[in-house]
Amino acid sequence: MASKLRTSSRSQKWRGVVGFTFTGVATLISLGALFSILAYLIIHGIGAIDWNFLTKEPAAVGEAGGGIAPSLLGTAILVTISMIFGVPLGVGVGIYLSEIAGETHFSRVARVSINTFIGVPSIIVGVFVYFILVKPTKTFSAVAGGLALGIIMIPIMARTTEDVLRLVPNSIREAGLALGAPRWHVMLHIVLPAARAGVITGGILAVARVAGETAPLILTALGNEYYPTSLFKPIDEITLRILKYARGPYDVWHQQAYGAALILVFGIAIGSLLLRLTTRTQSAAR
Amino acid sequence: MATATADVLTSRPQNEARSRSNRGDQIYLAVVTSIVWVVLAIFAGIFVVLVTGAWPAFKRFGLGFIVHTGWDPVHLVFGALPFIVGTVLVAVGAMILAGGVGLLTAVCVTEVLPRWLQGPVTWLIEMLAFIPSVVYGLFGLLVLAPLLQRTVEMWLMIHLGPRISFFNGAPYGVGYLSAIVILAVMLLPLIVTLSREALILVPREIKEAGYGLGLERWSVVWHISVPFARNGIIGAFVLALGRALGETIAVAMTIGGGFELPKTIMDQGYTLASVIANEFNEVSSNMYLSALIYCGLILFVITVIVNILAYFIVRRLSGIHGFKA
Repeated sequence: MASKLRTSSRSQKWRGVVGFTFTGVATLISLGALFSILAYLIIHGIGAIDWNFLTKEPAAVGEAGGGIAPSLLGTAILVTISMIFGVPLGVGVGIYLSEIAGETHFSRVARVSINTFIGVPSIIVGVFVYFILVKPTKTFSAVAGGLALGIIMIPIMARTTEDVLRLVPNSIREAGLALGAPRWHVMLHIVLPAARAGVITGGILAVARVAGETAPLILTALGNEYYPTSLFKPIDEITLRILKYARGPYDVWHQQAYGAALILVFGIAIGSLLLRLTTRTQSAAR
Repeated sequence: MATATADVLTSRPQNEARSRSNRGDQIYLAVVTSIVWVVLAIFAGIFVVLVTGAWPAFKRFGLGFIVHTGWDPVHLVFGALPFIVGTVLVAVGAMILAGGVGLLTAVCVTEVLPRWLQGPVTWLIEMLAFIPSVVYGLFGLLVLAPLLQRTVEMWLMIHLGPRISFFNGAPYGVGYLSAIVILAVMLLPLIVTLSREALILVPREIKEAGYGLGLERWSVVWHISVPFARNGIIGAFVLALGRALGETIAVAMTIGGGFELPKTIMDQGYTLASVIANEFNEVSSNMYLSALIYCGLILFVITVIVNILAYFIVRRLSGIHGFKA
């Protein structure tokens, strides 16, 4: 420290100017990345979006027109299936980590595993579901895709549930227990309702996350040109459609890829906005 | 299972007497604990499936798979070294770009910007995290790669190429460099938010002590705040590294595809994750499939190690719960 004090104040000042300029430039780069991506999506995508785009099946290869309705429907179906798998398991684990886990070996293993699970690449989950569901049933399917997304959802859901449950003051739990209520009753009728907004927020976050997943779906849901007819057949999803159109050679496809991406990002942005509003009301209530 | 439930019952002593006699509570604990078991079983199942899937390739190529090159689906000769090198190259390259820009951005957001701007700017950068990776891939493939091809890659080839062979490649556009840049953008929000959270925790007294010693603002930021937040920043970097190693679709769309060791940064190649995504539905034989799963197993082991490391680094930071990934 002494050596730094000895540096003349003029060189310190210059270093400051240069340093702060760099931080400003870095921030502009970060913001610039966001704005250029959004700008490209809007400029190239807005022209693709009309009523037909939202309600029609894809046109024949390379032809203009056609829409992404099957992908939108497929996305809704896949997300619903994923919530059926992911929400109960994720919330359950969250309850365990917040309310029950102590200093036992099992608790510690569970905690480390869940935190590691979050970082497992989603394509690995796709490989897993391919082997336990797609290969035995000999077909890609909506159920397989939903299961893969559900598995990815579990640790996200668990983490947010744990966090919001910890925000519920212990005095509330103790008040319930002191009135003679059993623990499950306190959990179900006092703690969970108190944390409801936060749990829902976590759900939105998890849905936003899995709605943008593509990699595991290549191995499980595969994609489809038509409306879904069965949960046990290949199904389309919006990110699979974007992937296909982005890689294709046609300008029409590229434009539709931008359009679909714009819809996807918009949907997720609305979700995150809701998220921000609900978390804000919750912290205000605290 | 029984012992776990028993442990669980004793973990909150204030409830012990009541819980013991209550049937509803026993069911509640059993349900919640078995959910945890199911999830742990899925986690273990992933590992088991990967090992069984990779077994034929492991029997044939052994651990040599990791250090050999060559990817020949016709003669069934496989080696993952090019993908492992590609994964490291792309992840490290993206970390260098995103680490520098991200840390400086975090410093700017916490120390430079006026208070009323801090929230909105942070929120905007967090928005980057909500953009799905396929959209990054779309942008990378259709906008960024052609742009890099015309500008950066041309420049590198002409000015650095003759002297440094690593930059002496043909500017294809898609390739390692494009994958690195797009991945760096994807890592930015993670690095900025986590570094910012660490920088915010620096106590004001410590900074004031620096000012009291006559230091300029930049010296306080660079020699006091950043070193103080070091653990949190390292944690952020390790988490981002884990993400970088596993990122699949955006990389698969921008890296071009190729089965050889990278010679220059403009080459086309694969990472472990992107080779699975792009080749999985093209497999022509069981051995090919098994070799891809072997790649997945290597990726799984690497990311699990990195994430466990990140978990312990982040946890050491303090008893911290608001610290999210």
